[in-house]
Amino acid sequence: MLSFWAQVRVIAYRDFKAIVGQPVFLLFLLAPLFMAIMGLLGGSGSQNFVEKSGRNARIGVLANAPLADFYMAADAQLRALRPGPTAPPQLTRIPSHGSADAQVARAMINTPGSHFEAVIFGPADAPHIIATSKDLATYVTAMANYAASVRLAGGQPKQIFVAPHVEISRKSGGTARTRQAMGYAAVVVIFVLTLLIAAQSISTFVEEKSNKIIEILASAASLEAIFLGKLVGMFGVAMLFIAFWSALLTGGAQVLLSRMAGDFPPLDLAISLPGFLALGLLYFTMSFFLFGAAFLGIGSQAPSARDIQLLSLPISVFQVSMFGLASSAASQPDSRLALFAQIFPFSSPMAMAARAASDGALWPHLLAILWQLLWVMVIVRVSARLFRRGVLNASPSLFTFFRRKAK
Amino acid sequence: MRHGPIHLGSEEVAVWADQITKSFGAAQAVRGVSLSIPKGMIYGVLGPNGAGKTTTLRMILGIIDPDSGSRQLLGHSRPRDVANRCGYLPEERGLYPTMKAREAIAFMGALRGLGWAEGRTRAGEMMEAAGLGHAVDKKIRHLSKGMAQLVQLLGSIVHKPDLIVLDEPFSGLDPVNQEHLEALVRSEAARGATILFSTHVMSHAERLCERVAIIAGGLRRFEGTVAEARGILPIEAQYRPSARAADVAALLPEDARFDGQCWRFSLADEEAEPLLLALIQGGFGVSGLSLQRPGLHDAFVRIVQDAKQTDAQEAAAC
Repeated sequence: MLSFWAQVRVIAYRDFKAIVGQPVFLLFLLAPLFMAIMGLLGGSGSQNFVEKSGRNARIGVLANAPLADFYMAADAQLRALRPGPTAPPQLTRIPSHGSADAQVARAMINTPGSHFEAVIFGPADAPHIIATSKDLATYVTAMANYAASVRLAGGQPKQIFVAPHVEISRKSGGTARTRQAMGYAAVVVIFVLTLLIAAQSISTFVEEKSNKIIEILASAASLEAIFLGKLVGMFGVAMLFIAFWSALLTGGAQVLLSRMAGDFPPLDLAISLPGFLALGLLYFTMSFFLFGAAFLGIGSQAPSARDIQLLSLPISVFQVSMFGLASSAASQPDSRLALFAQIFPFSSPMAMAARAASDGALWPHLLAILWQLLWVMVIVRVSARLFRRGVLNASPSLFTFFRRKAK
Repeated sequence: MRHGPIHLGSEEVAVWADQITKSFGAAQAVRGVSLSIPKGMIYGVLGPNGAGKTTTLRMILGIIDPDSGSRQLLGHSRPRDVANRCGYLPEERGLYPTMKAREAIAFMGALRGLGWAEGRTRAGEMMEAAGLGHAVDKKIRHLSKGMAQLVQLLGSIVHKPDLIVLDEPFSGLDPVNQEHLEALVRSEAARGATILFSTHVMSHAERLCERVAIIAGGLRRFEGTVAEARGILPIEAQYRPSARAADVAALLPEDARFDGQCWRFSLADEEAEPLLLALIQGGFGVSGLSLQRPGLHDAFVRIVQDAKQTDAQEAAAC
């Protein structure tokens, strides 16, 4: 007899080839592209929203007259050169606090909810600039130069340069926000991938059942191996899908990063980025097998394609509810709800992926993966038993039971 | 539970089942079937529709487990342990429609432990030999039903199994393909494989099987050679005396009836010669005599009818 894993391999290889070999697989592979196009179309609306929220940003001028007036005049001149969306934030005058200016400037940048994205303070010939981006720092430097030239030339600008001390500062509280956002992003990615790929496993047994192939499979391999083989085959498809898009997105990201060199905020995660990505992949694997095994088990009970269609809605609702649970966990990492989401088997992979962004401890992940693995095994075994009972032994399946109840 | 190979005299037994039973809900599909099939034999399991043949084969192969009784396949009490040495053609044919014929055969071989590459090579050779060379790279959905059935059969033997179980292998095949299949079964048996097949078409069993079991109502009603099965029915005799036709009745069996031209009666094997002698000595002469041995078909019908009667009586008694 073939070993269990050899059986799994044969079934998985056949399924993988059968799926990838279909021309329609190309459509499946490119589905995110269509989603992106739709997203871009819808994105113009959100861009407006971003622009509106950008109008609240401010550049602080921490100086008294007449220096502050020079800055305001310089800004008025330079702003005309940068119209439209590239226009810098408006200037706001704040009286100087003398020797405490540096402290005040930092507070202006770092206070949670503050709209200040850059602050200029200090003497006119050696100003100090704190900015949250390189682009903004460049603008404020130009403004300081222009102001200095106007001031020293007695009203007529002359080419005089000052060398301001420029400091790029990330807003405090950004780390927590970044981590939370990354956690949420992990939840979304795992949910979308699971929704796209694992949900398909519900219909994979329909082919075997309608073509009576299951009898041949069952005579040669254990039902557990058949179940797992089908899951692994589908997982192979998922990996191909992820590899394809990862390669594309990595290439895109490299181009983007090279253009935004130094201006892209570092991802200050609780663990390293490769570690976070590796955990994300691992949790996607767990999520895939958990949902995939459950769907495969339910799908194997369905006597026809029509029943599968009817099942799709409650299954999608269940998936979305798990996503909702994990999303809440991502936004409230230390809450009881988060703990529940991390423990509940079906939300656990998504919730734990979110946790990876904000918690550096590795042991909870090890524990969670073991816990999820246990559930995968339980679900595969239960599903295989249900299948053997309902289909091969021709005793009533769950669907028959529900139909009888309905009558 | 028995361990190690079972022997029937000097012959090693390939398939052994002892009083296996199976119920599906309230319906008792198999009520106690015992089989003992020596290695290298072509063995037929015969029975009417719904007799329990398929369920018996599925239990023997380990696809489903019996509720009671025990079984052994190629010396193993767990049939799955020898899945690689078995080939199975189920009653309900099934292949992936989008798979190419060669791949389908290789896949079925791979399920039984044959390498994919070796399976593809053998598939090509076997299809060529079976006259399906032109369809090697055709998708299953583009093949005729008969061709697809042959492809599936080739898939069940591509790994050169020691035991081949075929459930109603001839159904759906035209006479030419039935001939192909019979030849294939004989060549596999000549290779040394044990063949176990179910059918309710007696002519195939009569031509192929060395021994048969007749199952009806979930019970085995007969087991033996085809000749033994035919032997359970008496010989049908027609006799036309050359003289004194009206007086001959006293020498003939009780069921003898004269139809105006000849006497018709049934005879046991051993009664034929003494009766002939008595008729000649009695001076009746023999103007015409025909002795017709019933076929397997007649024996099968009788056994099944008897089984139905017995079951009805038992049900009435309950």
